Amino acid sequence: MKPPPFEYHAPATTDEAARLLRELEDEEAKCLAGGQSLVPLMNLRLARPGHLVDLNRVDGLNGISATKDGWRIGALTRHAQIEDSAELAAGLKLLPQVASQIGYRAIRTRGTIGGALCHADPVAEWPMIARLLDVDVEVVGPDGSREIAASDFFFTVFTPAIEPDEILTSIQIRLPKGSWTTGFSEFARKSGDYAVVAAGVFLEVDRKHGVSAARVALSGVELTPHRSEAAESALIGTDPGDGAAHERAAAAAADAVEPSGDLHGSSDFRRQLVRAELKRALSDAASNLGVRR
Amino acid sequence: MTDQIETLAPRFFGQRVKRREDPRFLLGRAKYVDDIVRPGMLFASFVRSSEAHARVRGVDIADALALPGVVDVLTGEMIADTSHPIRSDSTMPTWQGTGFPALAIDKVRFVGEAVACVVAEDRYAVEDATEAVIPDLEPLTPVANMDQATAADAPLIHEDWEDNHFIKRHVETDGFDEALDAAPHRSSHRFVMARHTGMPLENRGCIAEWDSAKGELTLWTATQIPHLVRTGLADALQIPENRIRVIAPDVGGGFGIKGHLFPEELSCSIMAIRTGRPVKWIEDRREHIIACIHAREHTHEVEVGYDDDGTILALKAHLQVDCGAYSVYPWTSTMDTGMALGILPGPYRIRNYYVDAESVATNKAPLGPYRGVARPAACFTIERTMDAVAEQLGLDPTEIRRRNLVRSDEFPYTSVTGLQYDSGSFIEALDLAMEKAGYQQWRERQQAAREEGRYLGIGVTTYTEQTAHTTQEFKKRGIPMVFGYETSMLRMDPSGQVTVNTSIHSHGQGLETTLAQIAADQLGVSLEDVRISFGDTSEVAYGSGTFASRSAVLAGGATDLAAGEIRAKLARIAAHLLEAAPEDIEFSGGRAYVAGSPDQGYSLAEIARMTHHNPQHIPEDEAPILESTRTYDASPGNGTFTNAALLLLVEVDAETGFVHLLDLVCVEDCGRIINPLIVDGQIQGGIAQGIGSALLEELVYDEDGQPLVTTLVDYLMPGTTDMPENFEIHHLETPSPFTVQGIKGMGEGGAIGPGALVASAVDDAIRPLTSGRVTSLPITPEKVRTLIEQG
Ligand SMILES: Cc1cc2nc3c(=O)[nH]c(=O)nc-3n(C[C@H](O)[C@H](O)[C@H](O)COP(=O)(O)OP(=O)(O)OC[C@H]3O[C@@H](n4cnc5c(N)ncnc54)[C@H](O)[C@@H]3O)c2cc1C
Repeated sequence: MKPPPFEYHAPATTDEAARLLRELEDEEAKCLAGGQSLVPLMNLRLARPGHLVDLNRVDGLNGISATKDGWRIGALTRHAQIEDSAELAAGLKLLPQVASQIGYRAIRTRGTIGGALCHADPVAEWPMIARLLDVDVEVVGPDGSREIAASDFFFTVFTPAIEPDEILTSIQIRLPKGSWTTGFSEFARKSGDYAVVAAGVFLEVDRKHGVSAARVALSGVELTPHRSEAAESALIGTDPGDGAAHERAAAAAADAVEPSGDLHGSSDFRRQLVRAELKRALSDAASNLGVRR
Repeated sequence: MTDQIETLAPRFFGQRVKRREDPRFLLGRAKYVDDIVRPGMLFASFVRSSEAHARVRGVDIADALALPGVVDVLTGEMIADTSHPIRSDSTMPTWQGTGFPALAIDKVRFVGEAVACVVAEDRYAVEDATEAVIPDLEPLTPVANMDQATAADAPLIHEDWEDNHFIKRHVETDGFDEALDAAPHRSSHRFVMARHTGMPLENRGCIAEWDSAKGELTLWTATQIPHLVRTGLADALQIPENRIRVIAPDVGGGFGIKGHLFPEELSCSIMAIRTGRPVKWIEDRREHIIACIHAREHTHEVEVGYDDDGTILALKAHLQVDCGAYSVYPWTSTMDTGMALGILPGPYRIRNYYVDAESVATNKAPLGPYRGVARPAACFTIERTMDAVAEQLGLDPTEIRRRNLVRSDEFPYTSVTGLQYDSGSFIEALDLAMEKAGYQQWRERQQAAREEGRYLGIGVTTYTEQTAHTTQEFKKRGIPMVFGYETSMLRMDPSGQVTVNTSIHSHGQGLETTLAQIAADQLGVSLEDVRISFGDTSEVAYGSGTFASRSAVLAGGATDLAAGEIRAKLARIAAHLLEAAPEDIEFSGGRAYVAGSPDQGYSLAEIARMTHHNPQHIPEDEAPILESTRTYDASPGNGTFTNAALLLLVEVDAETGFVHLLDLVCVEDCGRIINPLIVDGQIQGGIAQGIGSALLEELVYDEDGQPLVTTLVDYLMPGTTDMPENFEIHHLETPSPFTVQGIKGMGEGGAIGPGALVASAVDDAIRPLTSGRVTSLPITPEKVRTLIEQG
């Protein structure tokens, strides 16, 4: 369990990092963030980068800040920082709630949100949440920066839609003006373990007409995080606390997916988990309604 | 006055003495194999088979040898003539034996089998070079499971065998068929326990060093059985045992898995001799998962006959154990089969028994002992059977057990398989567990929850565990070595301090504390005055090591006897000095004195100094040393039987199949308890492992014999947060009539019950939803969902 030989670089700026990535592209250069996915893969010799460009000394990549319509989270922000953030607990408690479910505390003190997005694991929490919140991902390359919508970001399993010489620098979360609520639930075989299936919901709620807009995201059912249009449309116009409506939406979501099975759950079992976890996420959202988020 | 003397002499036996080894472990000061660095040390790594079953056509080592830092590469062919494979044969009829070569020679027989060994200047270089070795393997049809192995046209794993069986055994009581036929009710069941294994924090590892000047080999290795490793190495390498020194330093958990001689230890030794430099190998987790010892893969079919009251009249069983590709040293591939066959009737009065048991060979990693050895599977089967009978008769599951358990007035009880249950409290333990749990309240909680649409279930399990078995038992098992005794060598030095050199090894069991308690009590000294030493074959007398819940009983007994002998000698010397009778000498507070007059005496330091330095003062016929070596075999050697009853309350999430463990009550009777703190810790640890077996752990292979679980991402182990929310342990203390101090072994027990227990509770929880019942472990959420869906 030792990696093949590689060279290590510790740039101080994103520009320098991007330049290194471009120069060394032929020898497979990779960013190193928290190392919680990349380093085990290297030790198992499943990843063999010739160069590691360590982002941990790059300025400006870490931090959580409020923006005029939401939040900006730097790529190097650790899961634990999000878990512990008092501002997020007050403003968007979904994020600390989700962060606390990732691995173990030791993993969370190192692992980063940017790393988790770039790792693009189909059962990971952050990619699913990125799809749920329709975040914009900001990347910087040698030729400048660009924003990628979450819906375009996850190309396939373990593959984000960014170029080898691009660095994810932050994510932008934009929240609607009106009243909204969030809910989350996941199923893991044991505490601290990867989820088999997780469900997130984001509901805009109108006092008169109930749910006016719904977003439902699922992990563990496809190669990339899944947005369940079936569940979303089933929820429109329903009372956010209506258990029967939750049931219908959950059933619609489950019917619409064709998960592939693996050691941790067959296709049928995953579909059943979608149903159970989505129902729980919806009831979580209902209970969060009115609570200051 | 006498009262005062009593308080001067604290009895450590029975006290919750804190473990003296803990500061070392908890502060990171323990010294494991990997902490040892030898001058000029090289690092070894193994090229492992990617095929389950293949002919080795050749191994290309040229590229690897050319890489920087690489010192040597060894293949099976290169050592075929100079070293013997590891071999452990049963003496029983039908046995088919096989060697386990250090490196595969003509065939590989499981994925992960070592094909070549590379050594290089550092760990990175050696892993790079390992990738550069190209084995040329010609795939053969793999035999991936017991169905494939026992099919009529199955390919042979070992070509000189008649079929793929290590052994087939049969035992049948007189008149069995009539007894079964006469039973008013009969039912048949099939139970499966998945392959899984012990996962110590420290993987395997060793350092071999050859002293060419003296022709002596030293092997530091993470083992539970240093002497047996020495014997096995000597046989394989043809080096006399007095030229081999095996040192087991601190070992980070063993659980039986480290109670073997391994091919890797042999390869490293050969490499050390070839290169003349120390060779270190540290197993990584992937190797541990695919290429170490696996355990527990049993399939049991039973037919049970019983009467209207639920009395079991006859039990017929067919037991199959998937033993993987090779017979393991020193146990052979008969252990699981033999243990399961012997203990299947468990704590119940079953007098008619018929059993066929097979150890089947497959193209998988070898199967060996893991904490509990076969008993978790046997317990699962008999307890599931009890639950089934109770359900068919509409009896409470605790009641069916009470009706069949061996009663206290029946001990010593000879079981239908000839095991002698020395003493026990089978029914009392069940009663106490029910009382402590508040069984009726649990039933009420269950009822109330059901009305709310929640599914609580109560599980019950009882078992008896053979521990500290020696000559009589191991002789019966037909294994080449009869693990008859353990040895303790006690020495009091001139300063009056005591050293206990013992043949067992402590790697988490707290034996550094319990053995010191025993020695200190005998000699009336403080715990600080006693040093416990083990693990180095050049320091301690021969013995087998730590396994089979034997160390406290056997090394404890040997220590007690040896300390008693030194005490007797000290008494004779003190009596001589004090002009008193030896019978009148008492010991406490580190002093020997005339009974009733503590002032009239000497400190042990004074007596020890006099004995060694002024022997003119001691009796003429006494040798001027304070030393005793004693072995202890806990005769009659059938083992002493510990028992336990467990109750568990779970809640099953009917939508996801997740099993929440709520309350667990364990009542354990391991005879007289040396240290309740340590006993509780052993039970907790064992139960945690058992919960892993029950709910999480499984080494999955596909139909081609490829392991699908190769890292801890897929091999799920329980953590603290997966334990029951409330976890109580209570004790009964029924002394063994046979052993020193009436103690019984208990190290494995915790791991035996949880599979049966959780299954029993899950069934009870989902009863309103389905007629399906748990028949296999682990009980994954998906299995629970499948049962619920089947309705
Ligand atoms: C025991 C354990 C349990 C875990 N449990 C969970 C869990 O339950 N849920 C979960 O979601 N995850 C889990 N993880 C993974 C963990 O969350 C990782 O932290 C995360 O997947 C990757 O983040 P990282 O910062 O460690 O990235 P790294 O491992 O450093 O990098 C991952 C990949 O992303 C690339 N990368 C990283 N940052 C950037 C960037 N800014 N720009 C461009 N590319 C970048 C790297 O080159 C690499 O390819 C677990 C990990 C472990 C070891």
